[in-house]
Amino acid sequence: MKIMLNGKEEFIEAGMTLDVFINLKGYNPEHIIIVYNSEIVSRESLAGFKMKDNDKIDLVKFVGGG
Amino acid sequence: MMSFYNVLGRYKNFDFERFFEQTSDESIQRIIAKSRLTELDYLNLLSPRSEIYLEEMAQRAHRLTIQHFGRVIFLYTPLYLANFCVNQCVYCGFQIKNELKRKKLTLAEVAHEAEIISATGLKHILILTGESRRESPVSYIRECVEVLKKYFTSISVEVYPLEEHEYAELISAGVDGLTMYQEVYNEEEYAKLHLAGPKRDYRFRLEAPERACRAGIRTVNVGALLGLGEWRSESFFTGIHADYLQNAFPEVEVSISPPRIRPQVGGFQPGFKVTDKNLVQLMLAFRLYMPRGGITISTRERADLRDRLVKLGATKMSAGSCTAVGGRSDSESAGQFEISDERSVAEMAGMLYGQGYQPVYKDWQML
Amino acid sequence: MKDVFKIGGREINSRLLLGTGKFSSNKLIPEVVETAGSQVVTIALRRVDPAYEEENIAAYVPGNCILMPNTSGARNAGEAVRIARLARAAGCGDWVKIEVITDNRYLLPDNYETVKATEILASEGFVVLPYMSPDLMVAKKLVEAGAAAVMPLGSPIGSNRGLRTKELIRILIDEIPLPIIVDAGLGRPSEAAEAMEMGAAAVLVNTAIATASDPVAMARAFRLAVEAGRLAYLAGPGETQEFARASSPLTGFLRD
Ligand code: SF4
Repeated sequence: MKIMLNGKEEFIEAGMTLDVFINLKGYNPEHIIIVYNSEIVSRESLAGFKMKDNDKIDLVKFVGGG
Repeated sequence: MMSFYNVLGRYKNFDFERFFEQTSDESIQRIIAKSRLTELDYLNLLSPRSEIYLEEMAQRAHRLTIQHFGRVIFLYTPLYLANFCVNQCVYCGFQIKNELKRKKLTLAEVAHEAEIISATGLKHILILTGESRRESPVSYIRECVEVLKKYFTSISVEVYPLEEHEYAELISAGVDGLTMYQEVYNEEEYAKLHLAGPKRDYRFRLEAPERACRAGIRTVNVGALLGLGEWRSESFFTGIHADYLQNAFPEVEVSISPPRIRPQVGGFQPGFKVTDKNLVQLMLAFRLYMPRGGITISTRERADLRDRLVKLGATKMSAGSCTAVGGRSDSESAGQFEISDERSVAEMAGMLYGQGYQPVYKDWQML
Repeated sequence: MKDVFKIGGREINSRLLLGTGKFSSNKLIPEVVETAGSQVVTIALRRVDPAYEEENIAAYVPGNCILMPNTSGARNAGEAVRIARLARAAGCGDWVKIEVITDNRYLLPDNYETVKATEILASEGFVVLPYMSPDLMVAKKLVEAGAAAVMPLGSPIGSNRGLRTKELIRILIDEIPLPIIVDAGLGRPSEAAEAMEMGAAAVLVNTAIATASDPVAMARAFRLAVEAGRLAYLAGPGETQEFARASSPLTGFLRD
């Protein structure tokens, strides 16, 4: 299925859960904020979170800024 | 937007005496030199101690006035339309308890008075009525405005407080200015001086300028009738009222008047004395506080004093005034109060030219 | 008398707000923050870049600081609102610096979108500090919209050109009943002192400290400058004024 990750198309296995996906991408969920279809997903609920076709995922984090 | 009633509430229990005791020469000198005064700076300049700095204040006020207004004085004249009144303001000649010939001008008489006035060259007029929604309702005022529009480029009203939509009605008929004196800002004093009638509603009157601004008026003029309350605090309230309006409605031209109470039918004796010096201090303090605020001086003041006030911050003066209804064509009727400067428009203009000032009859006109 | 500085009802013990961008190493940040004495520290929110692992900036900011995310990257009110909500959801607290920039040449803020974003976020309970081009009418609208402070620029972001908008900022200081925090453009401590002497409530500095050869020393210099400027403001500098009696007195006629 197709999803949008940080504004770019990605093709992944249907029915994948978020925790697996984040792991696959090599991110530590402790250090980033996961925004799924414009909603923040808490770290605790990542495991049971099934992704669907055409969903949007944004991975963001705090950086230096003025 | 917070109403001015709430702003004033902050000073409900303010101890003016104590504040004045704590003023110092250094702070007054510093305030006179400041480019932007705070509310309390203004109050400092109204203190008894500031009296010794009147000349310094005057020099600066004079410069500021020329800087912002030039060497000009706007001239206007009042036209009393009706003296029917349901209120009982103890200091007023038109109050309900006074025996006098009540009258309101017919539209033909309005046109006749307008002809006499416009022959003097004046283009700004201030129309007045007592408070009687039966005898001089908004519709009557509007009809008068429609007549006067043919003669004058600017029409201000000094009538009982109206609702916002009523102001809008008058504005669309051609009114561009509002004068509304709170008479006395101290709410307890207010209650004692206004014994009966709708004018007892302090807040409705206090917020009238805000309603007019919301309705789209171009100029507002506020003030306290000096002598009804303690003048230093009353002048302070007048100033912060003007400042409030200027902040809330940056597009409106705001001015104050410092009318001192005059003898009138009924013989009321004012409870507080306001000397020439006090009047000058108030004008100077206000000019330093609001460099762009207008100051209107009426013919309540003596000619010799008015001549001096030209250089002390005044921006607008009445001329050729008459406080009786139809008094310009019929000299029999009694006025609201006695005027002190009886000079004609031409004489006023001559005096201004003599001081190096230009009299302005027409400030602007709606295109 | 104690000189209290409050934003959004909260007492703040330093009038030097600090930005965390452009440091050569994030490891400098703890010492810079401590030396500057800053209590409000700005950070930004970005999409992660798979190319390299960035560090979590929040970990470098001392725990007693208020983290204030900015909305940099936003090109309109909607995007600024979204970033602010994300930052709050991510545990950043209620403070937000609104920064909406549509102009890539000068990086000047879009005042109109800034007002819109302020209104929305203030109604959602944020403590909103909008970054703006100094304009009195816009500042008044920000007050109405519920801003907690107004942050006019001294000159364009990162330009280090100093207090170029001085006269306009002075008007804001005189007329706006909220803290005026000069943000952007201050390149030297003397410029920060000048802003404070004028009556600015605080300044926000980032580039000038982050890009100095010795950021820690520069942080200290700014701290001292801000304190000196504030003290001078409170001390009420004597104005230059001719107090000589004029040759033709205007009030000589008054007797009583
Ligand atoms: S002051 Fe006005 S309202 Fe009061 S009695 Fe006189 S005319 Fe009437």
